[in-house]
Amino acid sequence: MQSFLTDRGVPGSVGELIPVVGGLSQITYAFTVHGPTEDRRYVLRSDRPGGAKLTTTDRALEFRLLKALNDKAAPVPTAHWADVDGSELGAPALISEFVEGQNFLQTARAGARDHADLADLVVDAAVTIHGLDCAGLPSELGSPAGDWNAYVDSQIEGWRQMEARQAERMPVLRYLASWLDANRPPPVELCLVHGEFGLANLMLGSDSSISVIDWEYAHIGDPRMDFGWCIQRGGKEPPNVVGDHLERVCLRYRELTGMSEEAMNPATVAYFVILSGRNAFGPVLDGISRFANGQSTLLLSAYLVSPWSLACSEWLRIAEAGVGAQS
Amino acid sequence: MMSTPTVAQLVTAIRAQLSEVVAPAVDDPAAGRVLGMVDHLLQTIAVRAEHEIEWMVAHVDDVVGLAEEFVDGEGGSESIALALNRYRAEHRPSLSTSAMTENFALANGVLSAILETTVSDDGPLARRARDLMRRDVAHAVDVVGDFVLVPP
Repeated sequence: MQSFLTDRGVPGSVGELIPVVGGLSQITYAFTVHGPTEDRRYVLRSDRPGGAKLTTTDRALEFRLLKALNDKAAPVPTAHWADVDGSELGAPALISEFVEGQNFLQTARAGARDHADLADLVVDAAVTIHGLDCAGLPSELGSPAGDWNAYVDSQIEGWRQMEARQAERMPVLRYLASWLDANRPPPVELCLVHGEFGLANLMLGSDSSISVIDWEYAHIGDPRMDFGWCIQRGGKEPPNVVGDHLERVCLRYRELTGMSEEAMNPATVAYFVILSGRNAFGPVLDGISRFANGQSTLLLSAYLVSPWSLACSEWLRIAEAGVGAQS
Repeated sequence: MMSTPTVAQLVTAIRAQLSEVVAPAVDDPAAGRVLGMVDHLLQTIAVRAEHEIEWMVAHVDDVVGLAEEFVDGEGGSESIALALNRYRAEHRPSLSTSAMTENFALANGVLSAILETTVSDDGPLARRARDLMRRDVAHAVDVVGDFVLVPP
C-alpha cells in the first residue's frame, strides 16, 4: 500500500490499517495516510485473494462508476485510485475517501434516530440515486432507454440460469422463476439502481448528509429493486427499517418521484424482494455449488447455505401471499 | 459397529467444548467469527444426521408417485415424462447418503418440471406439488435452526 500510494505521488506514511467488518463479498479496510501537513483517512475495497473469492463483481467497473458519480456530485465517496488487476496490491482493489459517521444500520440499532425518520432518509437517498442522469455512466450497466419487460425477462432468465448451473436441481427456484414471470407488476422507467441498497451501505454524517457506499452490484434497472433488496437484507440484519415502514416509504417515494400508487405500493415492492435476491445471492449459490463440486473448500460458502435456505423460505412466503401482479 | 453415541450427540458435545473451552480463549475477532461459522455448521450437521435420509426418502417417494399420476392422467407434459424417465433410468437402489443425494436430485428435477408446468394451475395435483415443495423448503429451515448472521 505504501509503495502504491508513493507511486501516485501521495506523500506520507500509511498507518492504522483496520478491517471493516460487515460485508460478505469484498475485503474492506480503513487506513490513514500521515502526510506532512495533515492526516487523511481512506477505505480500501479489495477482492478476496485467490480461492477465497466469493463474488465475481468487477472492481475496475465499480471504480469507473464511482468516478462518474463523483462527476455528477452524487452522494457517494470520492474514488481516488484503483489497482484494477491486482498487480500492485495483491488483488483487484479500489481506494476511496473514508466517510465519517455511522451507517444507517448502526444508527438504527443504537436508537440514535427514530426509525420512521430513518426510513424517510432511505427514501431520500433512493430518490437521489434513481433520479441521476445516466449519461456518462459505464455502458456495462445497461441503458435507461431499455425496455422494462426485456429487463425483467433478463432478471428472470438470470434466476433460471442460476438454478441450471447448480450442483443439484432446486424446485423452489424453478417455481419462483415461473411465478415471477406470471406475476409482473406494472412497468416503470428504468434508472440507476444501487443493487445492494441495504442500511449498512448508507452512511449518515453528523450533519445528516448521506453517502451511499459499495456499488459493486449497480446497474440500470427497476428502482423498486433497491427497496426489495433493502427489505430482504433487513430481514437478516434487523431492524428492518424499510420493511417495518413500507406504506410510509411507498407514499414518500410516490410524492417525491411522481410514481403512481399502482406501480409503487407494498405489494409491488414485495415482488422485488424476490426478484432482487438473485443479484447478491447468485454468487453465494455459485460458491455453494463450487464447494459441493469439490472446487472449493471455502467454509463461508458452506455457512451461507443457511441464509440461502432462509431466503428461499421467505421468497416462497411472499409469492404465496399473492403479491406482485397488480395490473 | 456401535451406533451410539449418535452423530447428533457427538456434534452436540463438540459444540459444547467449542463454546465453553475454545471460544473464551480466542481473542482474534477473525478467528472468533470462523468459530461462529463452525458452530453453526455443526448445529446443521446434527439436524441433518438425525433427519436427512428419512426426509429424502419420503420426498423422493412422494415426488415420483405424484409424477406418475401426472403422466398417467391428463396433466402430464413432455418435460415431466422426460424427468421421470431420467429418474427411473438413473436412480440407485441404496440408502447410502451418496446414493440418496443423487436420487433426491433426480426427484427434484421431476418436481421442478411439475411446478413449472402447473405454476398457474390450482388443481389438486398442482397443489400437491406445491405442498411437496413447501415441505422441502420447511425442512431446509429446520436444518438452519437458530441463525444470526456472523459477518466473515
